[in-house]
Amino acid sequence: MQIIQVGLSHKTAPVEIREQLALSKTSLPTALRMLCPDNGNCPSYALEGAILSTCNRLEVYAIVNDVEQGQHDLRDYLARLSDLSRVILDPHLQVHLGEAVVAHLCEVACGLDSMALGESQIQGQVVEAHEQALAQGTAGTVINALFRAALHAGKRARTETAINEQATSISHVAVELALQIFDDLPTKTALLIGAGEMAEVAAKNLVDHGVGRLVVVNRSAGRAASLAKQFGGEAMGWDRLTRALWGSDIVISSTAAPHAILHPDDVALAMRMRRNRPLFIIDIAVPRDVEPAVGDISNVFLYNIDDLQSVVDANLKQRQQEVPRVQAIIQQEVGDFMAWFQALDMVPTIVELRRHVDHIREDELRWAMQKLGHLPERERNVILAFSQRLINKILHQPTVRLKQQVNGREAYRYAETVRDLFALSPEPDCVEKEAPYG
Amino acid sequence: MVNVVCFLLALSLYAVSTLAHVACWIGGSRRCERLTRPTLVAAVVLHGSAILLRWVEAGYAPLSNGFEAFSLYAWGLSLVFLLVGPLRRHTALGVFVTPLALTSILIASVLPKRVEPLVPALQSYWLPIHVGVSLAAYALFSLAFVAAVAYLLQERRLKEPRRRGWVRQLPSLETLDNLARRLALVGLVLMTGSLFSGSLWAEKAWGIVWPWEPQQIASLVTWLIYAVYFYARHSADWRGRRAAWLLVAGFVSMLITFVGADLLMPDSRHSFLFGS
Repeated sequence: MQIIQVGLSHKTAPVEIREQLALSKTSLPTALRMLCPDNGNCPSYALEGAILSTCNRLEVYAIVNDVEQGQHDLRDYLARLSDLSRVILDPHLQVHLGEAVVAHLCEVACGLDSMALGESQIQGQVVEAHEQALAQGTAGTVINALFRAALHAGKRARTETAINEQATSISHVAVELALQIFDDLPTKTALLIGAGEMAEVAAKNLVDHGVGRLVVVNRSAGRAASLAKQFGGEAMGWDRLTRALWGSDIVISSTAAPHAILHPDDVALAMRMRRNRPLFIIDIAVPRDVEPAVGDISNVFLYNIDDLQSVVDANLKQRQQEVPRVQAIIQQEVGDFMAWFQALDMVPTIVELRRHVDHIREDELRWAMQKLGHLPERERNVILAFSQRLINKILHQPTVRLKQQVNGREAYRYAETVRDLFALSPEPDCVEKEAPYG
Repeated sequence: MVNVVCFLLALSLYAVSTLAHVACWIGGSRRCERLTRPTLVAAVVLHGSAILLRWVEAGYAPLSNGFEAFSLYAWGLSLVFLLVGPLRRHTALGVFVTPLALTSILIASVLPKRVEPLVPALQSYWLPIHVGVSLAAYALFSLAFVAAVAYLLQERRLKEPRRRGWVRQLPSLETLDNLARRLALVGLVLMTGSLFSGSLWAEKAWGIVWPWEPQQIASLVTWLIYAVYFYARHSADWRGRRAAWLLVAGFVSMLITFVGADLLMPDSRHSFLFGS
């Protein structure tokens, strides 16, 4: 019984390949059932399985009997899912085996494998993948423990390290800066000038973070009205731009104008009208919409696109510094999981069971010999043989049964039960741990 | 003696808390926040008991010499900080408050600590009122100063986007500006009380309402700076940086009132801080 992962991500495959393998919420259950069908009629690709499908990756996590065969089967499976031939697909597939699978899933959950380092959305997507597998009945003991370990690592990484702190996208940085200037966003007004795509995203982020009011000014009245409607804001005519400035706290400007549209005089006047309350201006336009001198006015905080990017870069650098700490957490979680997983192996379980019973036999034999006192050699041998025959007879059937199960789907369940009944090893760590998403 | 032991224990707790705050600030770790606040709370509780014990032992309010004044100032500063601090976004200010409190308590620790009979000049019910109100005003002005300094640091960082300095986890500009204003307002009210109570005491003790004592003049200057601060805020819309600098000036003037006047004019009638 082996853990295996086959899949592709933004690191291994271009988007043309990834989109072929994109699974929608509705097609995922079918794919899972195809991976491990519960009736015996269809060929089964895996004993247990789960599929992590996001826009940047599609990864199959599976438990198989034989690594070589399993790898082959899963490549076939993905080819079938994507309608691509193995020749095209294979070079883009990434395969992990055993311990590396656990480490990989932990890294994914912690956001180390994400495009934006440390992002937290992936944690939810891993939860989702696990829940889907549970719903389809394809997740068994091992997959459950695997996902629990990874989610635990992800949760710890985000609470114990700063991997998820500080924004790493321009629009989030804008919100973060706004929160460093203003006390409460609900009482604030944002002014959106022009309508670039990035400006829209930034405006949406501000609205999502509770900015109280949004005003849209655009050269095209129709565009202004539609944008205002989209965000629940209000539209104003281009001629009222300076006037709109008076009542705004956050300005996002991204017009296609070839020259500056906000001049120091306008802003200085606006500052007098707003009684010097702070004004945060984000200029995402190239060429710039706001004259740089505006930034010198007191209580005005002007950021252009490069300024925002430099904040993003600095934040990413800080996240990068946290990676070793996250790796240490992952190492712990992988270690815990592997200790539990290896204990599930059938052969060592059988060996341990026999050793355990043999210990009991020896103890009891010693006790009996002491009670009986001196005995002739022959009688001693009979008693010795008796004890051995007894345990052999008792253990014979269970051993045969367990050996039959070595490659079966339920192998670990037998192993776990035997270990539990005979108290062969301490309780496995992973099961004891809190399982927030179990 | 017990009060001195308590005091010294509190001093070491202040030191631990200061170190924890600085370490937290530099390390940027969230975990050490578990250490910063509890140590400060313990220090304030222990320090408060030290002051209370001394009060009981002396039989008069412990506000009569330098040790007592610096000690009470440090205590008041930390207590008010803890009271405005529960708001999570204010906790980062501890890195400025705790060194200030520690400095004051270290000064206190080197001054004579013996409980002496009260000199006749101070035997008045005005003593606890006048000195208490003044020290409370100093504590609030100091916290307003801390908020102003934090504002200036945060503002400079936000003004220069390319420069990512060591300033982090500070409250927002608006929060700091509002906090500073509120603290300064309460401080100003208390300072007014200090001036009035001082005049009334002077009238009673020496028969003169305004004897032009150095400390009295310094107090008036301090009071005026804070009055200007509020005037500028409300009529000239001074906000943010300029207002913060006024608070810094007010703090310097407050220090001169508290310590400087005593050091410069050791013979004045206010000279009780460093003994004579």
